[in-house]
Amino acid sequence: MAIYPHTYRTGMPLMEKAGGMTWLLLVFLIHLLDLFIRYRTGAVNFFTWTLFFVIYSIIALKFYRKWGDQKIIMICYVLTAFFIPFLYPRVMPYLDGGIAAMVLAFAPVWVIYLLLAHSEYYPKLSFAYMVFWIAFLAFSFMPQVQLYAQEQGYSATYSPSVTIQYALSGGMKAAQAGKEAITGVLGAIAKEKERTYKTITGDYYTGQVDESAQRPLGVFLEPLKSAQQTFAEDKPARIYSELKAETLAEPIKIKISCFADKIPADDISKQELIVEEKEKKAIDCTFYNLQAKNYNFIMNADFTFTTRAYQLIYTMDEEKLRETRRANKDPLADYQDKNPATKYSSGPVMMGMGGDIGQGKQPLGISATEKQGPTIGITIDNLWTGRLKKIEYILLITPKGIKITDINGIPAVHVPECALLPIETDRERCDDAVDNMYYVPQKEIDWANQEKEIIAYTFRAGTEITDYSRLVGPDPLPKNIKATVSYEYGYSKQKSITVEKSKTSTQPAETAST
Amino acid sequence: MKKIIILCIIALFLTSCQYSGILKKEQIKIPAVHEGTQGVTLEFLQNAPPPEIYEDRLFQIMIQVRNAGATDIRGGMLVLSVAEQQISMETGKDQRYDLEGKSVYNPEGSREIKEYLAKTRLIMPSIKSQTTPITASTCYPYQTKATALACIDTDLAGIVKTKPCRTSKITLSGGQGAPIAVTSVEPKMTPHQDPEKIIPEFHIKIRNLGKGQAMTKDKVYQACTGTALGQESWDRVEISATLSDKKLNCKPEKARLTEDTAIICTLEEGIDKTKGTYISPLSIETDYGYITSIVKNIEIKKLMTK
Repeated sequence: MAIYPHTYRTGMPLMEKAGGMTWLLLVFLIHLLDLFIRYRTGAVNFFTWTLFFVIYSIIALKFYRKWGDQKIIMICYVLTAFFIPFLYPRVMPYLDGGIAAMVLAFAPVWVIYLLLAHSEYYPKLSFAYMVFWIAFLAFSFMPQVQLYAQEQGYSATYSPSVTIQYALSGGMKAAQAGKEAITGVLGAIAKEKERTYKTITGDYYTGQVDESAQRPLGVFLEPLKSAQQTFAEDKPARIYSELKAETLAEPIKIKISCFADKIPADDISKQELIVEEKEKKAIDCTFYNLQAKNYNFIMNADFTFTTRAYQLIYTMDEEKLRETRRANKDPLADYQDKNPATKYSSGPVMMGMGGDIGQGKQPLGISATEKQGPTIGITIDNLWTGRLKKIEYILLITPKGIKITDINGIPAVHVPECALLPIETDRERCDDAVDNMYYVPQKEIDWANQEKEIIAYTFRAGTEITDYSRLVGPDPLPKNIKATVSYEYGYSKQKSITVEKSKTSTQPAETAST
Repeated sequence: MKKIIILCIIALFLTSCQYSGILKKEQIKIPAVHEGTQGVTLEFLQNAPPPEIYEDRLFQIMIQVRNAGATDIRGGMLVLSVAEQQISMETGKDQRYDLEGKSVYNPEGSREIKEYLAKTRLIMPSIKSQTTPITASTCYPYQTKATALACIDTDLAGIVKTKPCRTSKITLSGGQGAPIAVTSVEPKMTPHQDPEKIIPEFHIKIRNLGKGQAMTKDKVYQACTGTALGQESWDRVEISATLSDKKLNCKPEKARLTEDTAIICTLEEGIDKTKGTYISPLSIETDYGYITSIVKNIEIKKLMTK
């Protein structure tokens, strides 16, 4: 129940005003954090949400009475703010890029709520905020209205009736986008639920993307565009987008497909392409003879990609490690990177390593007598909004002295020599004298591929120490556990466009009948 | 005015006296050999290894090994450790050295430069650079020699009022030219079975003031291979002491180094009370093996062919 009425009270004590302003500032701060963390790379980073949302929720729920809000409202707008990122990628394509960015930056649900519902704390700010948005929206939509008017054949481009028509048509599209977004949100919730469950049960290992690449690698599609806002029934319907692809290793094979609902495109400017390094390509899909109705146009880019990861581990004699720790000394005191994280190459998939290795587990004690080695846990997760469709193979490389015995209980497939590796770049970088190579057994991969979409797939590898002397030295020895995953990935963009009945197409038919 | 002039003349006279005095007292400074807490020090020479290097390239690793302590070393061992999946060694990893310690004639201690040749391997595809540590470790036998002038007071009952010295704790700060240092000696006089004698007892405290780790001297080379030495070997030193050339009985003979390691050395044969109170030189020797390391990170960069 609200303590303060939602009206402006001139006699409001200074403390209350200050409290209200502090509350708004906190909300802005959380929103800024959200923008810089979750949206930093332009795509939503689903892995860095928990902390500040939890802090915010605790503060919100603790002080909800003090600042005059109902508990349920607080819960609702915290949850809404949290799930907004799942909604944006689906709604944004329907908006112009600039508008989308502005909405994202200045219109978080909780800020709107606070500025409108609690304007008594900051009346001038609320007023300025509303003026800003009215002005911004008016100016932003004006060119779109003009375009719409021209398409509809109106000469008076600034006619209020055209603007209302445009608003109605936009509203219908937005409603459809919202419906799709809700479906998407539900899917995203299910994925997030699975990830959270795996994280809680310790079955999810994370890594850090290798930032030396400086830019994301893989295949990207720009938002889908069309030359007209609506298509005519008797004319070809053409949608287009720009495809960007970049690789630092093996070439990327990309297959393009387009659909209007389930109808495949009649003509695609480039159905298949191989990108050796970096490429930008305009892709046009043309549909002939589409019947009049509202279509969901989709452009798919399916490609094969390889993600590689490595985890630096320090190995030392177990007994020496125990003694060093007993003497309250840090065995890694001389090393700069005492707690190295798994690094994986840029791309749509994240690879993390854990189990008995990785962060918080350094250095790794090697026993002179016991054969059992560390358990290596590996997680492969889809970071982008596309689909991780199929894993082709997973290759694991351990240093000589550590042998992988099994993957989730199934015997690992040993690769006896580097020359047998499937990719040339991997063969060049492999040395039989220092590396042991293993494949994750096909049975295990088939099991992972059974899922319609692979999310947070984790497996654990059992190991054995085969050569103690290679793993110990006067000081902790740096070693690398490496993993390579080759997969098929599907990335798509969609746009809803109406194919309208053509006035000119009906005319000749009527003439013929008469 | 007269007084001022007289004072000035006296001041001038005194100042000139002092100046000539300094000239007369100037002496050749004897280097402090048995000072400091360093043993062998290691240092990577500049750009060897370089901080950044492209993949698939040969490079040199040069390490300056210096004996900055007071003990001569015969058969010290230098071992280089690298991530062999990223760097391959073209030369052997282990090298031996002999180095004289600091002395009056060699106040800086001897030094030697050891060279290695290595090659960077190709780094993973899709990754532009990888950082890897290079570690140099040295294992060597060493000795700490400490001397102190201890007050031997046979008058346990304190009958004699005027004595030439008092038995009190002696603090030895700054080390003795070795990483393991004797930090204090506390003499205590205890009764002997023979009432005409006393037993001098010395509570000696030793500490590891260096950056490395000590071990029993017989395991010094094993320590450089990284294999298990056993709990009884790490942080252990052997101690012996003499009081005016008479060997003391030290317990434990092999002491475990902690923050507060104390060894008790006694002259069990005792000293006649008739000798009274006098100052006697106490020599303490500690033998051990020592291991110390340095690490340098290098960044291996991908040679961009694309």
